[in-house]
Amino acid sequence: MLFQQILNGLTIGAVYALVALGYTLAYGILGLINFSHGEIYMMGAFIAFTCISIFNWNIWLSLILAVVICGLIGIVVEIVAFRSIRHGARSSQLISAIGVSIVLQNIAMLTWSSRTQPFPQIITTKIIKINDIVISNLQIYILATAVILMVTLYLLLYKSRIGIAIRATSQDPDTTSLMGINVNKIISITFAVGSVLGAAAGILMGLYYNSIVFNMGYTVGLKAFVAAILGGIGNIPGTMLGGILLGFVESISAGFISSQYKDALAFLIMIIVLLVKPTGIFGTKEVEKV
Amino acid sequence: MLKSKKIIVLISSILIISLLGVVGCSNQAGDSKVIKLATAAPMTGDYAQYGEYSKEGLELALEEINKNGGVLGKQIELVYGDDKGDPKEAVSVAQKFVNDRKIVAILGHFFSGATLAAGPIYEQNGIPALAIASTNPDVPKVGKYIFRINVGDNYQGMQLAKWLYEKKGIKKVAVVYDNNDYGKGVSNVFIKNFKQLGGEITTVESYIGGQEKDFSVIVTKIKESNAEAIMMASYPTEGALIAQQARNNGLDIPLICTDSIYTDDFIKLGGKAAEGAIVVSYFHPSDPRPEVQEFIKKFKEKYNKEPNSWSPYAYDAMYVMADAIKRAGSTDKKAIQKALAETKNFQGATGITTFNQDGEPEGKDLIILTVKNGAYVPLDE
Repeated sequence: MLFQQILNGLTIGAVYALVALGYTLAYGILGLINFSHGEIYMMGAFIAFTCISIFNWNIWLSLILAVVICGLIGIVVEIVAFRSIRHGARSSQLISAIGVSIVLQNIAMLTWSSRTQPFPQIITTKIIKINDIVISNLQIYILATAVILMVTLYLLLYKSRIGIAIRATSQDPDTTSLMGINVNKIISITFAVGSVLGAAAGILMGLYYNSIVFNMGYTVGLKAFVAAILGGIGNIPGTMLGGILLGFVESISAGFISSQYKDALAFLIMIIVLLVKPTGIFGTKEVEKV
Repeated sequence: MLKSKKIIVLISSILIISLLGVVGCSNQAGDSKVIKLATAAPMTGDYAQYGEYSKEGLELALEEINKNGGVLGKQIELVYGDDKGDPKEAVSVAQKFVNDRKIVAILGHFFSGATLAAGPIYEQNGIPALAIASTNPDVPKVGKYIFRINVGDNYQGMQLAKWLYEKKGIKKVAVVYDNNDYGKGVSNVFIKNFKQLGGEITTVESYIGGQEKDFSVIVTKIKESNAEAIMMASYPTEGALIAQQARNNGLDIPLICTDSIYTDDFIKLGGKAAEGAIVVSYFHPSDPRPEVQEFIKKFKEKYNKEPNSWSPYAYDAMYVMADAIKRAGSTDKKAIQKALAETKNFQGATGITTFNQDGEPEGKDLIILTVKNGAYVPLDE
């Protein structure tokens, strides 16, 4: 049972990690907790659902389209909701993010109704049995996609010129702009990257659970935020591990203690981590920028 | 000193004005040309479809009653409140209803949690309320003004336990429930009765409805516990997820579901995984009783679809209330309460309604359904 629960935790943890990366990217570059990120996750699933189930478009085209549209939504959100108050108070940025979240949720509710919709089953579920452990092909796809996306993100950030620009902007936007880099463009790209990851996670979860609903981003957004805090928000590898860790904690505590205390234990661990190491497990001390 | 005098004057004038207001309102109620009833259900949010089912039943009954001359020569007017199925929202809806002096009775609320929260407010203000789908065992205990049209979980949980143990010969059951007043209530009664019969409950799992999507952990635990069946007190969304994730984890034991799941959404969302699930209910379109068939005919004419069990409950609730007002001969709330309590052998779409001293209906029979080829059909035994 332990291995089965670890596998369950790994699957959900990989998704938390993908969504948490969006929080970390936004935090790293703007020092902003983007609470509207969970809605991008929801939008990804719904746009893919619309393209496949309603317009009957090609599956691959639909998936790519959904991810690209969400990237664009990310850029628009940044321009509309955060750009003008970038140098304003942290609290106004936070409120703006919550506002965007409410707007996106209500747009989704009005467009696709408040009912839970079945996500198209584009992959037939197959079960692989190894001794007592059961793995479904969907779980393998989720893990594989998550790993590919995370590796791509790592290469993008640490091995490409755009990545250097993103990291430079997150360290010191003023000096970066003096080096002839268009900071606004870099911030837009960062938001697009984060949103693409979130949308991909949304589609994966739609496939896995085969059901989507307009407020599905709320819980996952909150959990991913916890994962980011746990690993160290702003720290890319830390966030990935934070997501996986949260998935483990949830499935182990539900599996061996009680499913009733699953969320409570996950949040309890976050509180303990914050008390012991306020920057998160893998976070580094950051000097507050003025 | 001067200040406190001013405050006393202010407070007493407010009191006098509010008193005048009350008198004014109650005068209006007597002159009214309509009988104003109120209903509350989740009209928006995660459980909005239940509000929709309830509304369809109520509207159908309302249309018929008003077309046939109304009650006591007056037309019935129905006010809707949206409690989102949430106890906190239910309280504010109830406050709004009791502040409207023209409202003489309440049809609702829908969810057990909402009725348990709103019930005491109606009880204190002496407004009769007839709950539509609140099955929690504690609902009738709220007070003498609180009734319900549906059968409580004391009965459903016991019947279900008996049927599983004696008829199906299943001795080991895992229980999964939605962690709200409904889920807790029905699964507790089931567990108690099943154990009394000699059965074994292998594991009890719960989750937070509307938030939880991942049941793989729960499913793994159930598999490990070697249960022969899963007893599920869930709503369609989570029920479908549990069914699918059980199948995806290679767990292939019967799913026994309480009546909360009996909607088309469960089949639509569950797809293949919902096939073979057993659902208990107090209403099914195949029931040959003339009241049922007549209701189905009228329902299909108006909405062009098959009803599930929630619309007929709402439909019956409206008729039982109208019948009580007629027998009371006035819109006095106390008289309506008395007449409601005296309801005997009312023939409706969901069976015969006779209230016992707690305001609980007696004598409705459990119907056992199963999902076959994407539809609910009676189980052949």
